[in-house]
Amino acid sequence: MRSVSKFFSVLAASCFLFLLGFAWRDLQSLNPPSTASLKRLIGVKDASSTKIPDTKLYQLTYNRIVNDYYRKVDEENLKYVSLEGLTRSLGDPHTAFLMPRFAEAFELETKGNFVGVGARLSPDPLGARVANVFDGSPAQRAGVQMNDVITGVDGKTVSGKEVEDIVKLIRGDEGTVVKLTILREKLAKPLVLAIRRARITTPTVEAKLLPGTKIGYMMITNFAEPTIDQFDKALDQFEKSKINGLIIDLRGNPGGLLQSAKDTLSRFLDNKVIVTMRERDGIVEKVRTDAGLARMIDYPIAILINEDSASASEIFAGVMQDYKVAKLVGEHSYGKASVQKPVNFIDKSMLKITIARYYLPRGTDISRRVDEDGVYISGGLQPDYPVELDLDKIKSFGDIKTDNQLQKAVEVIKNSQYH
Amino acid sequence: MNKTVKHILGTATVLGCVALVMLGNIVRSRVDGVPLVNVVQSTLPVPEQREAQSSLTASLESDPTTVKIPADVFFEQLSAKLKSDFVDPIKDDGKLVAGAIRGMVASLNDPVSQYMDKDQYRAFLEARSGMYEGIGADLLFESSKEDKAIANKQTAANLKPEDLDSVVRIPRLVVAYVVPGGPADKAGVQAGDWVHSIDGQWVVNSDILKQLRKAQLDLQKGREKPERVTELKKKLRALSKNNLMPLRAIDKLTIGTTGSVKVVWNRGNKQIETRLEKATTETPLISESPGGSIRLQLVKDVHKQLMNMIRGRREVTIDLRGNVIGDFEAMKDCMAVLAPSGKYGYLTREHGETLKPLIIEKGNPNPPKLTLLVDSRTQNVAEVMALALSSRGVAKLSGEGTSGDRSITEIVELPDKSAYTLVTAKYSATPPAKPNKSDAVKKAGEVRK
Repeated sequence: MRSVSKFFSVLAASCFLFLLGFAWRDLQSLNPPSTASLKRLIGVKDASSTKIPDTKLYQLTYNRIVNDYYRKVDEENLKYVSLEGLTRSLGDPHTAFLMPRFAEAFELETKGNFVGVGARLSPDPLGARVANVFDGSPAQRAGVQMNDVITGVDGKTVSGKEVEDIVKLIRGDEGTVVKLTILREKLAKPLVLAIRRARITTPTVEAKLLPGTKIGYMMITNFAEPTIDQFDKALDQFEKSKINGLIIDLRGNPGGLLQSAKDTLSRFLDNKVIVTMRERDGIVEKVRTDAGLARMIDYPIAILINEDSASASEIFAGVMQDYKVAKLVGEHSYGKASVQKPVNFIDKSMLKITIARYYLPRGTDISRRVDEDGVYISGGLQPDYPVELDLDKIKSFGDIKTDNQLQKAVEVIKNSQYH
Repeated sequence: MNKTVKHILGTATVLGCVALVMLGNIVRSRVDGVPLVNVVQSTLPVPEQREAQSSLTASLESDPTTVKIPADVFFEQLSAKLKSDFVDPIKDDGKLVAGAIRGMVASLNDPVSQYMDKDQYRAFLEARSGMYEGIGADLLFESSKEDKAIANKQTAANLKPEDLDSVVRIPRLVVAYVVPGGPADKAGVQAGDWVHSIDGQWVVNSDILKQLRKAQLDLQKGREKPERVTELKKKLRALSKNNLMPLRAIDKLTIGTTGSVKVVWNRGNKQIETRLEKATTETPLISESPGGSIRLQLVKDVHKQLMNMIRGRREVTIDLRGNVIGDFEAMKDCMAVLAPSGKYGYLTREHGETLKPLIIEKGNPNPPKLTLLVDSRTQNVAEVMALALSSRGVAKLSGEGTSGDRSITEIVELPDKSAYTLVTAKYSATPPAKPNKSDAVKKAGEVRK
């Protein structure tokens, strides 16, 4: 009897020691012991154990392309495009991997303070199109206009280059001069403008009374830290001139800080829920406007939006629409209903990753849906008064003579004044 | 029991325990199929890169110098980060690696090297076995001559991402071959027609962009009116409102056997509208036309049928028009049926350290008089076969010139039944001059290491 129990305890100890050895490498790397390996040991076929590990498959493919493709492949670039593809496979346009040169451009963009000429550029097959000229910037003083196409920088053609690369060429040291070759539709010959680079802080609020009316027009280009002060100042000015309508232009506003949107909304809504955030682990957080900061508003408000209005500007416009404080005019907005976190890598590349989603007061899901090619399917805020921008007419946003969306907003304001 | 025995027993027990642990470890190594060195250590990169890995996500400020992170390490780290932090749990993690592979293949910017998802690859394989889905046609991307010139000028070594100008180089989607009796054939679609739109969606190609670009450049030089530019811009804007990327267009035309598609084709200066009912179209892998020419798919074992078909004939005509893709080994088997043994040229690469000759062993000692029908859509291995046989005077070519692409393509199947094609070499009838500069540079670099 005794020897039997002795035998079993020795056997159990042996098994334990064997398994300890078996799982040693897992324990060493602080992993739970591998069940897949154990199953292989006792001969159980497991689907996951016969599968090639993803990293190995990746490495094989990477090597195959580098070694077998008939041309020499830039390995650094191949690595980065593979990581872009990996991230894109999640189908979320806001989760993105940025290779170092794009990450750098992104950094500069979000800091909102750089040395340049003071214009926002968008892609064009001939170079870069001027999407916006900042008020009081060197570009404006030199006579750059919206919709100009920059085809050359310092005498070198930039046709076919990426906007990020053209921007890099235009930026430089403070006080130096850059020469831009510009193509303007009505001019037969290209224009060459010499512009002195200066430190640019992007203004976030531009305000004016629309000529011949008592309607205040305010363009918010970004929800940044100084926005609320600039907004208050502009609104004070408007109320002094006894406006009877307000148009807030959020077209092209890519968003910014939630705090800034919240502060601005607090001028219109007293202690109201503006967004509900949901994180992955089920944590729900509600964001409310401040109490006691709302102004007396006795005039109709219209908000202009388009597909470039995103994030914080969609929160602002969507909340104003949901609480029936304002009507939306223009085109559907971008559809960004999520919060991202940046992850910086040591090689200066970067990952932007979506970590939470938010919902507007009415609970509408505005998130953008795209197909595999990134083409818009649905999403965004829908305007109460849809109007497409007449691209053949427009000279600049806010120009009452040529901006047909603004004209519609004025009409909406005037109509609600009579009712 | 005396002390010595106790000592021996004690030592034996300790040794036994250690031996058991080591045995467990060794068995584990066998089971996992790895060498007996610590697997974690052996796959780790050199020390400085390990450091990079440990502080991979350190802040930008902490390290002013740029460090390279090895591709596989980066892949693993990025996958892990997405799996742990992304707002939606990632259920199918196979899609991450598939996305990475798709990204790599797409970055080659090569119309012949393409990624195919599961459905695309299934349809592709079926077509190679004579069972076409969709409209019953082979499609291909056709770049204009000037685009090709740009692509050839840019040797991969001096190819920078910003030089690619990929926006203005989206090729046309062209019909290479219409399967007899299939939906496209019934609707009167012809080889050479190219897709303008599918179900009202414009299939993106750079023709109009190029027109616009030219008009804009002419405008700069004062040779064009601004109105023309505005008109083209309007046209482009109208088309872009509802568009379809070319790879999606291929899906719509070649996947599925039910439903219908409305397709507008360009033929010369005309546009032709068709409604096509998708179906399965069967076609033999090798067949003879009433005129006596033989059409074949260059796939495995087809050469056996070819051998039977040409037995006893003194003159043979093979129709390679619109033959866009096939298997290199199968092509060699067919060449051996049609031509005598010998050297038929070279397989070259741009960074070509390997210069393999194209050799046919066990060829046909009494070959028939051979005519090959070709056109600009004779591509890939079919084109290689045509050039190889004609350059050695074994065959006469008839028809328009071929595209000049000369690609030898490998089809790589992936575990999830998706696949990609990769151009692994180009064919040249004569030995190419010398290894090029970029190769020399690479070798010098290796020595320095």
